Amino acid sequence: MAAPHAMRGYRNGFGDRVLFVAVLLLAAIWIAPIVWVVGLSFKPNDVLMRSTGGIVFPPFTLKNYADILAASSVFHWMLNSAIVAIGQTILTLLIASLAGYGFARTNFPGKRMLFVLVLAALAVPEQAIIVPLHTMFAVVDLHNTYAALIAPRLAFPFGVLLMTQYFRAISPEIEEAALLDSASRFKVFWRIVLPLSIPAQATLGIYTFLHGWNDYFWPLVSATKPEMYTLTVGLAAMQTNFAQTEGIGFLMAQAVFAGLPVMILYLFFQRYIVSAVAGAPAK
Amino acid sequence: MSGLSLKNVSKHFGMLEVIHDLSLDIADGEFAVFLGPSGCGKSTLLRMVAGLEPLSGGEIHIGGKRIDALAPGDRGVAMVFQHYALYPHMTVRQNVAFGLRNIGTKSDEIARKIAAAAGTLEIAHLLDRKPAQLSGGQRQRVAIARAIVKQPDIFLFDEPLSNLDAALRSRTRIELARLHHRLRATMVFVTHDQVEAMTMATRIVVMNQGRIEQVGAPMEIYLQPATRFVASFIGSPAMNFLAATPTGDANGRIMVRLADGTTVATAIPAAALPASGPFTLGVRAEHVLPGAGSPARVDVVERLGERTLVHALANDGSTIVYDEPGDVAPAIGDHIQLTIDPAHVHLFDAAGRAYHADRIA
Repeated sequence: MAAPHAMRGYRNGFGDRVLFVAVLLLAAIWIAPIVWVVGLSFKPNDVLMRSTGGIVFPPFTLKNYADILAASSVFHWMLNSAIVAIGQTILTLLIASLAGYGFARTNFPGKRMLFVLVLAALAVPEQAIIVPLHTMFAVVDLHNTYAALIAPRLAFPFGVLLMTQYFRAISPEIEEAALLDSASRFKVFWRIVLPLSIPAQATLGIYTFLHGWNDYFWPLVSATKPEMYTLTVGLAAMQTNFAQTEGIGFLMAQAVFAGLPVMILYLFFQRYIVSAVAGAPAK
Repeated sequence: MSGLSLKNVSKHFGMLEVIHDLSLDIADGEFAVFLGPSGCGKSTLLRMVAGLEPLSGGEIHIGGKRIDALAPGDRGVAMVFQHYALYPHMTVRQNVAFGLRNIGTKSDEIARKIAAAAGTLEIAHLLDRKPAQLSGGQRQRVAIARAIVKQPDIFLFDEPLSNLDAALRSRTRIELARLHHRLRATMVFVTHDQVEAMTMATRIVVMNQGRIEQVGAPMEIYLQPATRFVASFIGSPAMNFLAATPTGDANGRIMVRLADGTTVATAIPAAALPASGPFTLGVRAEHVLPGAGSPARVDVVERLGERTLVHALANDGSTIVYDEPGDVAPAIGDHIQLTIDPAHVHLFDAAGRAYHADRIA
């Protein structure tokens, strides 16, 4: 009887080791470009003009970062990005949660058709609607405003789908118990359903924030005045101006600078992301 | 007074009618059990009382006051759900307090009520835990505590024992019966488990396909089932059913002949029986006796400890189950003879309506 157990244990141990090596390999492949970008950002541009290979050897410099900070508009663009990304996140969470709860828990005529329409929006490419969007915002004279940068991204079918599915997975009995506990429908949503959906809210919030922070296409179209540039558009504009003269180290520093808030955000909310992916909603 | 009264209540989902014009009165302090198979409408009926399903027709009154138009929280009912339905993100204390806070109960009063309920249900040491940290039995107690603190007019239980293991289910049954005795509250309990119904109910409401088949005390339903459905649903093992043909009467009592040719002189008044139609004779296992009578062959033997169930095949191929005390039983394949106690025979007509002896004890 001992042999099969020993064999199974050996197999598990060997399998784990193979899996571990595979994961390490994938992680290395994944992280290599990031390490390279960070390494290049600390290298003098004149060195990089000759070779971009030796990132671990001196000389190193902080000049590329100092140059970014010296550009007075960078912090303003960062603020713009923050306003747009946070605004999109808050409003998307609110809209997707309410819509998701509506689809998950209420019955109304045309619900199924409306949900299909929401899902169908997933298949519409951004490029297909960019011209109509531009025209619409031009007609109401909203280009170069925060409203124009935020509003189009609030129609986020994936968010509605995610929240609908999550709310559906929460046991209706819990909400019924709250109704019997004299809670109003809004209180049930606010005190019971929303707290239970925190993992999904965190996932959607982070996803929306990242999307808003990294968004380039629509801000490029809508924000034509430099004071309304988001970080991505602003940095791209700087690259256009300086790429050939200032060098690759400066470009890499910009990339690191733009990605830093996102990285910090991920580290801060990592627990929620992992639990949202690994965990199931409360029954 | 907090009795429950259902008047011509009906419910349909689209074209599908699940509760048919149902009327029922449950007295103050009763422990009524809605019993029936899955899909018979018992949980739907309970949810209609709770306000979780709107009525398609009829009225519901609690303590003489019509409540079917009120919100669930305003009906004076508390419900214990099948899956407990505790709020996972709240501690036990917060779970129990939630309903009280919603109706504006003062904090010191909430604390007093929680302490009292926790003492009654022995959950005082669990108050600061979250539901995920509790066992199934503990969650059940918390769900009951949440109902108790509200001091409702009526407690509603929707198959609350179905997720517990056999031992805990048995213990919780006893505790619920004790709780009912102590609170003297009106309780309505839904189950498909006849043992739960028989052991806890002061009155059983047997339901089938959205209709009430019979309402009565547990032993009344066991001894005098109103229909063949009730007779088959109540009792374990199920009642034996044998095709029977009336052959006349003796001293005003009907006589029937079974398919194997045996004649049984029942204690059922001949005048009660319709003139014609196919009949079925019903007799419980404990009223089938081994001894001189119809020949049969032992097919299966089920040993339950205190008694043994013997499944025997009659000459006409029908199966008859009878029980023997203890482990005394024939072996499979043995040829035996069985007699039926005529005092405890029931007859059922083609529509399933039952006919009994005048008085069965």
